[in-house]
Amino acid sequence: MIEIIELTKIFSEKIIAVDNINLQIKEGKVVGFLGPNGAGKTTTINMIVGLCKPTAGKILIDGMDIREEPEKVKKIIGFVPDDPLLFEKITGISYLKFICDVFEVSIEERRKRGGWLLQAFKLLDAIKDPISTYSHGMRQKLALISALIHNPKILILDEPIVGLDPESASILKKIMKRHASKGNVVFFTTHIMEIAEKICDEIAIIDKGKIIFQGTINELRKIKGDKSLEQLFLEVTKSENEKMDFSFLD
Amino acid sequence: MKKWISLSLIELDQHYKISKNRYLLKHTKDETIPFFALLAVLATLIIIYFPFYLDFIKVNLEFYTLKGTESLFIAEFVMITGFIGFFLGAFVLIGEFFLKKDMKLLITLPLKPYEVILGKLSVVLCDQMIISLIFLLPALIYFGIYNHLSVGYYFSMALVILFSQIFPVLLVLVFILPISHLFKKFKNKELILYIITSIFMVLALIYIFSSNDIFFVVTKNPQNMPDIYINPRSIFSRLTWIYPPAFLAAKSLINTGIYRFSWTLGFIGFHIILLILSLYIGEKLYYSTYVNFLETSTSAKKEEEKNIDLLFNKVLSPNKALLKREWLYFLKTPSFSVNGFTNVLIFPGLCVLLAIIDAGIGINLQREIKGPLLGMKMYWVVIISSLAGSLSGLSYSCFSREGKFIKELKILPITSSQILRTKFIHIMQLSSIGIVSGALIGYLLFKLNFPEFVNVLIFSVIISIFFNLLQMLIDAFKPFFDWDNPQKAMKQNANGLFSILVIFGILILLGFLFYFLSNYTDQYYVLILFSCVFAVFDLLLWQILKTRTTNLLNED
Repeated sequence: MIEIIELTKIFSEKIIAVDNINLQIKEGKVVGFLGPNGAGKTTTINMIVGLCKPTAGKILIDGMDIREEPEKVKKIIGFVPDDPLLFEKITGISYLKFICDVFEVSIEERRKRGGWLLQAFKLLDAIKDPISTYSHGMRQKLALISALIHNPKILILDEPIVGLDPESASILKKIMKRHASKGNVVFFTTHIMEIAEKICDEIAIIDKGKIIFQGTINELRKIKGDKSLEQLFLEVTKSENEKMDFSFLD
Repeated sequence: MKKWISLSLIELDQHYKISKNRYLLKHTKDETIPFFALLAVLATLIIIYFPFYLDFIKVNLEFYTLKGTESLFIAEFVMITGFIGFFLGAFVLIGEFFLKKDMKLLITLPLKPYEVILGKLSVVLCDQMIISLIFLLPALIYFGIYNHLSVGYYFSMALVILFSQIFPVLLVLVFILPISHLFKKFKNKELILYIITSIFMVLALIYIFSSNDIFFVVTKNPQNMPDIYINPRSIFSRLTWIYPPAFLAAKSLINTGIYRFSWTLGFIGFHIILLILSLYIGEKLYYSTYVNFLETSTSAKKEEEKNIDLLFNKVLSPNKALLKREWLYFLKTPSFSVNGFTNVLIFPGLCVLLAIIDAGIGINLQREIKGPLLGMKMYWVVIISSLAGSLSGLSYSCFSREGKFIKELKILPITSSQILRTKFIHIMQLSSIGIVSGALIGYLLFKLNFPEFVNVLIFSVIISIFFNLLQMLIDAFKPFFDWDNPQKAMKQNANGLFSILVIFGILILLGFLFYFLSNYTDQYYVLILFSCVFAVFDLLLWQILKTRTTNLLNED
């Protein structure tokens, strides 16, 4: 379980990226983290995985504080950042082997899970090539495989669908659902409302650093009316796109 | 013209982070600390070395004036500045032209290759200008004051200084453009480019040494000295072929009136012609070569290569996997590996060169230099060995070299101690090449006996550990992650400047202590004492570095 308690991140006096948020993400759930650009999604995720320090508040992963037991916490997290961190000069398989060694994945597990994932994402043909030869989508697939290969209890994905072809996107959605159904946590950000609507058990909406909604999509509909998630999202985040005048494009 | 100015301004802004630093200075005052620390280091360096340099200028000018060959004085300094610019600028130029990521953007913009080349050249030339300001400016100002010259001289002098780095930089560019074009289809083109440029530099070095009867004769071979007095004009004319800008610069500064004006125009014209030639070559080759640098080929796979069991066939412990990562990231980045290997071998190489010169042209080091040196022979071998082992450039950039991959280290389930231990082992593995080769060369040069050699080797290892840990600590305090080409993480990292200053300071202090203690006991025992003291320092430094690394990895 991920428990975020009164979490705040202030970059400077004028920039409060995350403003005293509380969030609880339970086992067995796929939770979508939605919000406009610059709302604080990536900053929150970066604090969960230990990439940046909270100004105030606490993050508990399986009851452990990342600041107190960083290695134990990181060991149960699989993370794909919005811009995958991959060293371009090495081959895909070298990178996967490195991840497996660091996460201490047994050779049988590597072959079983790694083999399945490489085949599912159709990366087997290119796995011995340098990462620099990969397309954006292939890099995204490699980052996803490396996050999944050690069977993490907590899977955190920042914009995982970006760059994936329809088939891989569909596979990933199924993997996310299945991973959560095994009692794990899947927490991800997306700007594609259809995906959130399709696979999320719950959603959390963040805007200007504050959580403005957390619950199921049906619960949101109960409050705001029976509309599409996109309409609901625009309403909750007080989007002004309906009032915009696009005539200058004519 | 407008595009070029706009592009150059953007490139300079990006290179020196002007906008970013202004923003940071406005918002976070802490950013001023490294800036002022750097200024303090530079000021210290200038205060320490400038009197020596001024003395060197003075002695040279008096010598040339006495022989009525003042033009050779100007030529000498223009040449020295040019050679330094050539050797230091070559790798910077490769980094700027072929490894910097901004080309991916520039290539898509409606800019002509020559405009991009000019933009990039302005960055390299601005970087190189520091060399002219340090070495050439004081010499030419001193020359003007010494000879009570007019304002016209200072005007021409300003132009000579402004243009002084153009020739060496363009020389490298004219060499690199066709070479990069030639090897653009090769798999390891970056590495090939570095290796061929290194060979080019070695050849240039041989060329400089082979033309030593121009200047080096004055200090190295007294027998040839009369040549310079008999026919200074012919020697001066030969400069046209050896280093043309030095000839033109000397002519424009030594003459007066219309002659000065004409030679200054000639000096400028020469550089403009060379620039046009470079731009012409660049226009033809640069974009097509760079596009190939962006491309990487994939190979057709055999069926057996898709065998999962063979793909995942070996398990490493996390520590070994980390060490493998460290070596892979180092070896696969030519800017790191070429610099690293060159640095560990440069001091032993220089010593071999000195020995060859000693044996070849008979400058009689044995009597004049070796005599006093032999009194502290063990210390000198320690210096060669420890400098070779600790100035690899790896330790002061151990965290900086990570760049954006520092994030990878932060999210992996490994402790800061594991990371530190891995980095230290990697650095010491490479350093050991320098330590052992330095000690062996020193052993042969200074004819140490075996127990002395072992003693020197042990102390060199201990003090190299100390120096490497110290440099790692410097880097851990202010790592430079935000580089856009890997060359900047090593060669253009301010932590290197701090490190060199600190290491040389310690070595001077140590030399003084060694000399002082050698009066009371055998140098053999002095080194044993030093080894014990520095072993304790190593342990203390390790603890401090561990704490600092943990803090660094916890920072945003």
